[in-house]
Amino acid sequence: MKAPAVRALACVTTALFGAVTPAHAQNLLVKGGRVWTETGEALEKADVLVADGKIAAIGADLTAPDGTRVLDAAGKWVLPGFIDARSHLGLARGELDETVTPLATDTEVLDALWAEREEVRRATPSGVTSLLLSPGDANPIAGPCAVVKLGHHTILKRDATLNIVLSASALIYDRRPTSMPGLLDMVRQALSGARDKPVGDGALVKVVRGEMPVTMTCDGISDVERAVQLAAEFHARASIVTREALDELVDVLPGTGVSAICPPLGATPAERFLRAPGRLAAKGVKLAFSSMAPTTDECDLRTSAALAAAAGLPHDAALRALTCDAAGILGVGDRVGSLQTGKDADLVIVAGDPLDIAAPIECVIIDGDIAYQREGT
Amino acid sequence: MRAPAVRILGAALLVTLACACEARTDGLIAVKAGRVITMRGLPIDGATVLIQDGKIKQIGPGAAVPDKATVIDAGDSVVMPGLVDANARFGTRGDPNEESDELTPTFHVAGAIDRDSPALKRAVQLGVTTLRIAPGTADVIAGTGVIIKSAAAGLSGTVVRDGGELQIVMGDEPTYGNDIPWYRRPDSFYFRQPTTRMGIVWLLRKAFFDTKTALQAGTPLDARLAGIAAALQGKTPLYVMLRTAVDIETTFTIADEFGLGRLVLVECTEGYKLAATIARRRIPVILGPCYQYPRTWPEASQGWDVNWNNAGLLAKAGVKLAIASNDPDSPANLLTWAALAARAGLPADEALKAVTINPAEIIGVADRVGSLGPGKDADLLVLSGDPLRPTTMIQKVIVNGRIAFDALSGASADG
Repeated sequence: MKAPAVRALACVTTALFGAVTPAHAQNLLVKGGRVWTETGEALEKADVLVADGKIAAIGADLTAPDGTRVLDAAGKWVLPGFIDARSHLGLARGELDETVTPLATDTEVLDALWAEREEVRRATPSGVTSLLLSPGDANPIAGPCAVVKLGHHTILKRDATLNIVLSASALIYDRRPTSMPGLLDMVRQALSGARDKPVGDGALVKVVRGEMPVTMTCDGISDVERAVQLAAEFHARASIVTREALDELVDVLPGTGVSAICPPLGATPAERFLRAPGRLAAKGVKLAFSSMAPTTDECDLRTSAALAAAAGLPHDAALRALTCDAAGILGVGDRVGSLQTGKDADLVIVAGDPLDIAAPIECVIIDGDIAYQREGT
Repeated sequence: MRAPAVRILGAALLVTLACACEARTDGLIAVKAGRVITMRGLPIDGATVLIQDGKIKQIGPGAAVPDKATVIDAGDSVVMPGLVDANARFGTRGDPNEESDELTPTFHVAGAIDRDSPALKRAVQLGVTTLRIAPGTADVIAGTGVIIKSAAAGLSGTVVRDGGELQIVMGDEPTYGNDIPWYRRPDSFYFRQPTTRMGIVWLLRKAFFDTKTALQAGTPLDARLAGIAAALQGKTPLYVMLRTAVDIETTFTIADEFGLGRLVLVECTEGYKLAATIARRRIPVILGPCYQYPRTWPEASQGWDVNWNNAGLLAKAGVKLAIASNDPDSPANLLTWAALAARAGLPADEALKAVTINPAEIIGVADRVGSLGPGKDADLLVLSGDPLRPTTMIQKVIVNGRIAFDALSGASADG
């Protein structure tokens, strides 16, 4: 019964391997860049001062204390680090689902993580600084997802969202449930149990109290409609992940308050899928991008955003989806996703327009430390 | 931070308004036809069906057509109500059974509806506008079906009624797959009853007995027992999927034991053998599929005696009957099946009733569909001629006052 105390501790930023977050090498001053803020305004020739892993100040001609390392960002874009709204990066292959328990509310996705994997190291240059680690899709309730950071591999939020799967992938031969109605029955009973007779503060209880958003994996549009109904029934904050019905979400999500998490668009090149984010944003649906990595071996969120922008998603909406909107959907907007004083110093410096995929990422700063710097800069 | 959000909201509002305006064209439609078959009284020649906001406003030779109405001049064509399929087994995705249990009274097949299903789109083209999707046949107590429109916007617009009946299976299908786990893990849930029809009947009898006992003792019923109790007390009809005469007789035995008053027989291939009994008990029958030849289906260990005039003999005895598709994953050409039944001996007017008003009455939606009249849903077919003539073409299918299929323009439910 030590678990809650351990968990409470873990909610504070801690390193995954028990080591304390390293002391920040030095303060940073990102100087003279085009600083993008989530209001859509870009501050020209602005400075960002980073101290102790947080953003200390943003403005023109900031003075930095002695010993501050200065990064020249003149002519470059400075943005919040990108947030991947669904990823399996670094998780043990083939061990993402504890399929013997279809309602896997208590398994801990972080226990499947080996943060020293090559793929995790390779992910940093993509500009992604935070990501939602999700278990697989083989259980109706696949389990809590955690938001972790690259760089020092810290846990930003344990139990950030709950992954609920309304998809054929959660129906397994000779295991309950075998059918979508059976699946819905199980999930509904679990949620109503947590609502009517709450015990402790498990994931389901947090969901029905509105403290924990749900990410819902769906196949077709009818699954999406059922997911939206389910979310409304239990007043859960929800977002939908679907590959197949991405283009049809625009008929269902507007007005429901449910957000959309786009799969990697590089892997779904059909024009109707590429246009979907733009159509959703036009109707006020909040968006985030996801890599589903390493399933698709595609860590580059920026490419998805650029493809969506080329197909009609407004420039600012695409950048918001990469940053603050993703943070909002995952419930970590108080810490990351925007450049504001006091927020985590997760920054990306891009040589040009971030949605111009030819513009290289120059530097990635996570928790105030340089996690990646392009060679020759 | 606020301003862009407001702007997005504003944009969304404008788009919504624009869509709403577009939908207005559905508002008032006049369909002029050579003949209108209402299924209530005699056909009306040279009549106009006036549709407003998805409902029928008026029908008649003298129906006034307002200037702003969109006129569909169907010329000499015949207009009839959209077809009602009382036992469909398509329009879903994935397993339509919860195989982990033989008794699934809380199973709502509604949870498996797939509005994108190609079979549903084909059903529209075959003239089916309302269908009751039945749960699958793998479980003894299969659960409840769902009544939907074949072409409507959104899931909530599609569903007419979720549940309201309990379906059980008396054929041998629930036995398939159950056995001693020679090769499966020992706790496989397929290691269970029934493996024979004796087992099926035993499970049914036990389920009803347990429910009756609980009702008499006044113990609180869980959701499972409550579903069975509703059928036991006659609050909801009990649909029984069966084929052979012996299954029909067994059903009656159990019905008499437990006082089951509201039965509906589904498939009922050998119903003609007990037509008089079924009629006397006032039990409606939903027939179909209508293409099976005797003793050729490999799964049917016993086989069954097909009589092509099953429908005619049942109708002659006075049984209310419907003809339904009842075919896994596939819609049926119900008008052709009705014509085949008519050729085998069912009177033509009864054959038409069997795909329109009768199924609507049996599944309890006759107040909305199955016939044409003021206040009814504007679900209608425009046909090139007599509905039961094999060369007759389905020209247009209108669902909720919207053209869902137009054979002449090539537009379909897909849009």
